[in-house]
Amino acid sequence: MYNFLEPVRKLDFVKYRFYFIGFSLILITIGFILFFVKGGFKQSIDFAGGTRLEIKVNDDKCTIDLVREVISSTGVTKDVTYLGDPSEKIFLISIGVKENYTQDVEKVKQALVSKFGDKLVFRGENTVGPRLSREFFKSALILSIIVGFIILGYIWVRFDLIFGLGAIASLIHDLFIMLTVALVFDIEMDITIIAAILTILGYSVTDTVVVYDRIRENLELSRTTDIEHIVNISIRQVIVRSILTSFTTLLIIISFMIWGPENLKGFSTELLAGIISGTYSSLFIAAPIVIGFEKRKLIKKEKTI
Amino acid sequence: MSWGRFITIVVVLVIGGLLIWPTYEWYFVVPESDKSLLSLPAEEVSKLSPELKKKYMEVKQLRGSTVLGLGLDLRGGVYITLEPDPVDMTNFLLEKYGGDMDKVNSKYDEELENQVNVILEILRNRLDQFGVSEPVIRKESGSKISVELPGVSSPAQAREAVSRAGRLEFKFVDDELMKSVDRRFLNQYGYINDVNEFLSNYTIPADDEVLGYYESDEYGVPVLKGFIVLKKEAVLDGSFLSDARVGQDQFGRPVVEFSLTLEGADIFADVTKNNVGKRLAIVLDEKVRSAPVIQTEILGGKGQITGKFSQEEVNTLVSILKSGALNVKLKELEVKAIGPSLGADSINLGTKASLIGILLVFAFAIFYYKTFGVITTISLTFNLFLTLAGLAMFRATLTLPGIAGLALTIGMAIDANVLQFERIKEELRNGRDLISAMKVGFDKAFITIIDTHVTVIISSFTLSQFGYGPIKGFGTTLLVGIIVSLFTSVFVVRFFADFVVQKLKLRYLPVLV
Repeated sequence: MYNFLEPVRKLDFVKYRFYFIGFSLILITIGFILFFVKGGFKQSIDFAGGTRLEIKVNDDKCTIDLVREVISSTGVTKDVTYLGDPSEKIFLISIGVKENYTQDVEKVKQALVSKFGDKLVFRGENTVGPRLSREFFKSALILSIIVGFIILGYIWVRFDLIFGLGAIASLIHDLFIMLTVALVFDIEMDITIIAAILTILGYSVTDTVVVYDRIRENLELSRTTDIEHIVNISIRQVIVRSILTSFTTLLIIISFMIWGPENLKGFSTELLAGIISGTYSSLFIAAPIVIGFEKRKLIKKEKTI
Repeated sequence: MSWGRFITIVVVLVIGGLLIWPTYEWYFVVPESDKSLLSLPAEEVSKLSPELKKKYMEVKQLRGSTVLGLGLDLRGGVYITLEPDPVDMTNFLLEKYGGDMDKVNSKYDEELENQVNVILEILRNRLDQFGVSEPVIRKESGSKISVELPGVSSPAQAREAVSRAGRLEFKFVDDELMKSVDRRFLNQYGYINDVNEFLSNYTIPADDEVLGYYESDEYGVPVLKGFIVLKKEAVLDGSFLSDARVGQDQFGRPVVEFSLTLEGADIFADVTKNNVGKRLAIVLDEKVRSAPVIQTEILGGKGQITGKFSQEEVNTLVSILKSGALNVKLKELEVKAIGPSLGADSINLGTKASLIGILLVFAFAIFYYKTFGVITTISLTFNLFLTLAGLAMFRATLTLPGIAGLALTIGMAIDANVLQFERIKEELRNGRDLISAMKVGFDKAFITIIDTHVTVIISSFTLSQFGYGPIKGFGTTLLVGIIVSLFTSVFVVRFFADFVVQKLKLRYLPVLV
């Protein structure tokens, strides 16, 4: 059988490495621009605090405007969106944190009950107070930094510092790409997004480790000191594996995006972006980065001999 | 291929099966009506008929074994995080220390810790009144307390049950009646064993009542030790207590010291003077938590409760007594309510997406790797099965992100096989024959597999330590799944691959390409 992945083995990755790095930089720049244009990330109540009500109205004639109108009559500031397919008539109502937000929530609930009566189903309610949301944010940040350092340490021990720095560079790349995707698709930053990011940090580094393993093996085996050639060969040797593994993981994630529950959609989208970015960065960012460093090391060696 | 490897695989699968069996029984065999027995308060249980009691014990034992729990996001319920209101707390301390702000500041952390323990004690004491089968009350970081009430759908109802203040009362034990009770109705602790039996043999006076006597177990959960007859009228209630603390008697043994308000001191002096030798029960929310004997008249509003107490028992009792003096309001930090329809949707859609995803992965594996692909799907099925067993073993809770993690593990676990098979193909291209290519390929891929697993284990372990329900579930699932995949993807796959190639000699079957 003809292997449809065979052609990718013939590509010269090292020659075009600056194009790959440039492409990533463009994407990340877009992210930064979006960040300033949109005024930051769309924050969920996990980090901003507030209440989120999920309701279902068993009435085909009910529209989002009607729900908005009912809530507006209480004078509470809110944000109403459809959750999933509008024909399902499931609405998400977000109420920001204010002085008396628990009363606000009760007011909104009463107004909804008196309007829709039996047709109304309260599917879920989530309130996060302002103090707790700050704590969530802090612990999420601390966790990400800890994971980063442990991974750096591990690669340092298993390979050397240069490889560790290369791995960290590709992790930061993945982080920025995931954040850019969140901005592009207006994904709400919540605890599950943090989980997605941390998962990708662990996952993406496996791809990097696989490439590095090969580079090291080839460095030991071959007599040539042509590091560019070695990196190129190594990438060619592992690229099929990287694509296949990402592909199987993506099959799962895409199933979740299509058939999974609505509240995991943001999580799945971020995982999707992270997996693609992770594979890309391992091959096209992490591997070429060691070229620059190793070259310098080799020159040094030659001088001392 | 050796018998040793075959037997190892069989043994592991059998252990997995044993671990997962209780979960199967719990969700698919035990009827709902039997499970609901678990939500009955301890006192109701002791009144059940013998058959129902037996059933109750069986269900309880099963639930206590390795059953995989479902998170609130899947089964529905209310989750509340609380803490003592900081403003209220400061006001309370200002009053206590006579407006001395420096003193309040220096004592704040210690007092806060005390308040949290008191609240925990009140909530634990009330566990069975929530009317749900598995309420969870946990002390979180800082001064936070979380309460999980599965099956409750209205946050208002849960708030009511949680935020109600505890009611502490002191009542006399009807010692005369207790002494006259025939020994056969009493258990080894000296309390009445069976209320029904007791009441059909004795008539208690109209101003008496029978209440349960509880002692905290090692986890701080109150356990029914029997029943005791009390005088209905409370001689004193918690509002007359001003403080309670842990002290020591002259032999250095831990005792409970308490002080009363001025008014309380007068009442107490009166009560103790006329009742030396009688037992005075400490009753929190209709549960008797201790019944010390009055040794002497207590004057001046300061008393001691002595006895053969462990340090934990003393701490518990102090918390209970303090609950009488509790006047700090609780502040809700987070309330999460998941209605039954949302929970059911999450399970259905999560399982559906997982199954479709996993089947797609299987189909791809077989399409791409032929016979070895079939072996991979077998090992991935083992992986799924053993991961569930592992989760059950750790009594983990399956959440919606956990289901996603389970499916994701399958997508990631195949990585090890891809690494192996690609290596083997490479060795084949280098001119080796299949058997030696397999040997070299499997060996060379092994080191890389270890490296890749370590990094995922690092990040999933960190996630599993994140003290937040659903994310914790996701991290734990990923962690267990990845560790299991070391066994299934390396050991199991290699065994089957060797078996197919060496024993079955399927030379003409498309093995890899």
